[in-house]
Amino acid sequence: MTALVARFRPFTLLTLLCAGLIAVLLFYPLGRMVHSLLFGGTGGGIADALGVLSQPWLGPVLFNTAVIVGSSTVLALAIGAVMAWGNVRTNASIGMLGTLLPIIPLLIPNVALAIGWVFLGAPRVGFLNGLLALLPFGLELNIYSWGGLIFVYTINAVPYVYLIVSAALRNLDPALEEAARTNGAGPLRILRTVSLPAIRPALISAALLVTITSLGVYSIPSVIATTAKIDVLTTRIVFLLNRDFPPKLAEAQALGIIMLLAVLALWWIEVRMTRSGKAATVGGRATGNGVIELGGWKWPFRLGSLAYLAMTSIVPIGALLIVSLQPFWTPKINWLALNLGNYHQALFVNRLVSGSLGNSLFLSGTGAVIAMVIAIVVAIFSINRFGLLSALVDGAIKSSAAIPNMILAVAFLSAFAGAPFFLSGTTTILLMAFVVMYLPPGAIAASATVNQIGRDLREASSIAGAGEGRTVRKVIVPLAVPGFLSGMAIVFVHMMGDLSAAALLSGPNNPVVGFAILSVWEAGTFGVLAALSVMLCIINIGVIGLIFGVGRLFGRR
Amino acid sequence: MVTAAKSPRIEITNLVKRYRREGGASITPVNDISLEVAADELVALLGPSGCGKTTLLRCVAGLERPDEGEIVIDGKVVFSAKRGIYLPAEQRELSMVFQSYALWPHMTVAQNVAYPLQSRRAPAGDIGARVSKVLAMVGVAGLEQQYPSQISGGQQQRVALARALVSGSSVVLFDEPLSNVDAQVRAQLRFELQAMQRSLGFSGLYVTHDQTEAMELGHRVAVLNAGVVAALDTPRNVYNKPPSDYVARFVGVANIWPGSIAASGPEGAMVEGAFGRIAVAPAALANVEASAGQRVGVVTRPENLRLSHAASEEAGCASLPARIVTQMFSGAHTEVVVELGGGVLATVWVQDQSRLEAFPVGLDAFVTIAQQQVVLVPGTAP
Repeated sequence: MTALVARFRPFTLLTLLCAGLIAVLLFYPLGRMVHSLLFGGTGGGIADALGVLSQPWLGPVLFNTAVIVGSSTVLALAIGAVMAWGNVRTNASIGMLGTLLPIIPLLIPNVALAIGWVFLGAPRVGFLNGLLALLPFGLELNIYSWGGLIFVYTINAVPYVYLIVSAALRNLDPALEEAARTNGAGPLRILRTVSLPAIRPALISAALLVTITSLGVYSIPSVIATTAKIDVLTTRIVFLLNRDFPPKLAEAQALGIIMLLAVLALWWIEVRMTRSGKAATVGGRATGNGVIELGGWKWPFRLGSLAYLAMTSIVPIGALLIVSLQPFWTPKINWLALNLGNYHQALFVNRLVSGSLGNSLFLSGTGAVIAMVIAIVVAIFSINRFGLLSALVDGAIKSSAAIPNMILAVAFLSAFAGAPFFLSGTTTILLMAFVVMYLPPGAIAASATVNQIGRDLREASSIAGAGEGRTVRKVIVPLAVPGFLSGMAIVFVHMMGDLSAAALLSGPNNPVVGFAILSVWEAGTFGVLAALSVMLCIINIGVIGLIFGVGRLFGRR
Repeated sequence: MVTAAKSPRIEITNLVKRYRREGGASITPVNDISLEVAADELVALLGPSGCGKTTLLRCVAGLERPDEGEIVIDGKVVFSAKRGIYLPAEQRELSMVFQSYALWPHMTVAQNVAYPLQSRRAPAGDIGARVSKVLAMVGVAGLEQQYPSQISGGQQQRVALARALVSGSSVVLFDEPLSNVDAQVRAQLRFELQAMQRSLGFSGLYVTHDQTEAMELGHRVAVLNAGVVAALDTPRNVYNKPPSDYVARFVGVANIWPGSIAASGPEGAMVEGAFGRIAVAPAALANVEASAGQRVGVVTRPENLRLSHAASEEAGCASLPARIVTQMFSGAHTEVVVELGGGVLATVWVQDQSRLEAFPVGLDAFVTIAQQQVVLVPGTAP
């Protein structure tokens, strides 16, 4: 008995070490941030923080953030839910393209999406405005506006809603909808009275996820809102830390706390709403044949889905591609003058850009490996153990998902930039921040993969005389390799496209792609910016494609 | 082997396993079960879902940790609550066939079957030959290099069996191994499994909810009810002399007529109830208290009841007046439902279809049964 415990101890120890490391990297900075806010410290203190409340900009910032996040969440929820329903439950499905939709944000980082839309919708020079100028109506789009900002926030958020809602709809028993149909309800009535109410918990968690994500996103407002002179929480935080001199850490921290309180309130609301239990858990397995006929709505619906797909992928990528090949950005495309000059600039002339690419590849590669090792260790540990310890370690490595990255970046800056660590401007602080911020998607992938392996397969191995180590090596890991690889790819592309850590923790000494994008944007060299964005997309598409391809190779049987 | 033949291979003593449900309620799927499996013996654990049979099996396997009691396998204590002993599955040196087969999809058939040998550090040189031999024995020679997803369900079942037999464990556990194959393959595998068990001579526990399977395969059958052993005997005895109405109903089809003992003596007893009066042999009283006034259930099997137009005069037979309610043809026999006195129903199986015309629905007739085919079980409150 005692010998047995001793045999398992190293793995338990390793797990505790991994989870403990993440917990420390998560809660120590947050704690330091709150502490220095309450009790003062270097450039902080409750008095300075309270000063935020009397700032004239606070009201507009909170108002702007609420309007943009609120309206884009409502729009994304409506569009995402209807699209998911159409694709999963009706004959207007766009097939494989529908399954592609949720992974678009992985392939095209939201900063590239935002920049792409700037190239399309900027006043006078945007490509869409170039097309509109050919028409006689004198119409002009302006991406630097409330409408433009909400539009980009919305198309950025739709895939999250789509993913959650389509998964819920796939598990919904088609008999529920068929019952409504036999009782005389048409497609719209079914959607409104049966399908959507039945998946209410999924809609609520989608709304929560989108709100938290949009609240903390910095890439979109940094590109669009600053030019539009619409100040939101994240841009104000970065402004306080990077533009004001001396940096107003206390005020930035206070804004971080406000954001954190908003997130906590949202979590509380979700718990309250889903606990009421009015939306019963829906059992039953969906079968492929329970499809609703949309009739005349079928083609408009399909075209809508395809238009959305184009708006988030081909159209902005196309704009990026054209600007990256143009000598200078103009809506009058001279196809003969296109060349690779901007790529040459980005890769060989501009030290900041080329250095940032190398740094980002190294950091994202290393970070993805570290994050996945931790995720896999914890996933394998939790698989056979139910109880407090396994819930704790699992929670520890997934909880950073609930906190906007901008808050974590401020906390890391507060905790590690100065004494006693002096990690400001180092690769180490970025690596730590990357691992904490982007571990959750990897952890979710790892535990989902491991939990998909039937318990009987592990038990059969134990019965056959294999100890835990051998079972992990011979049964669990070989079966989980595809899932682990895709988890690693997901973590990698998140790290490559990061802008939150980049804005606050990266600098000329440790530039990452996000930092380079912000610098080049401010310098106004749009060609290089476009080239860098295109290369970022190519790297992400390549990595995702490669790893999913390798995974398929493994998972062939 | 000589010593093992004398002492039981599996000894389960006062085993208890409890679960705490969410919300605090506790359920006890194994509630003080004691059971011994002798060398070369196969004991079938039979019961409806939720009776605790699978939990009991998993406790023996080492996949669940019981709360109380003791389990001894081949003379080695593998679990003892009092002494704080708990060997995990991998150290118990037994084999198991899973309901889902649990073949590892990333390994070939040969790799699957070789796995227990490798885990138990068999000499590497022997492994290939032993794998081929056991695959040939279960009838899937030549499939060595196939992956589980490339072979049929019946073949997968045979591979799973090969994996359980390859290491020559003296104890093999079966968790409803035939419930996922179709009826014809099931009958064939049942026959082969029985032959293999008899020739290889391993001891086994065989969980099933299929009474035919339990009776055909088991040297003894343990009928479980809500975590306790309701009956443990040879299939013949469990069927013919069920100790309770639960067992009578679960094993085969039974007519159970409520009644009470009117008089008893050395030559048997007289039972009466709404159904009528019937005299029973002393053997029928084995499981009940034979005192006057005692409530009992009269158990008869439908294949033992005969229909006749007049009360039987044969010695040792009893006849009861009955009205024909309905006839249902079901292939091998026709099920005739009759109503005895007081609205008590009885099912009679008639093999000879030519006799059915003589007993149309609504006719007043008699059912007759030999006294030694009647058994009494303790009665429940009406």
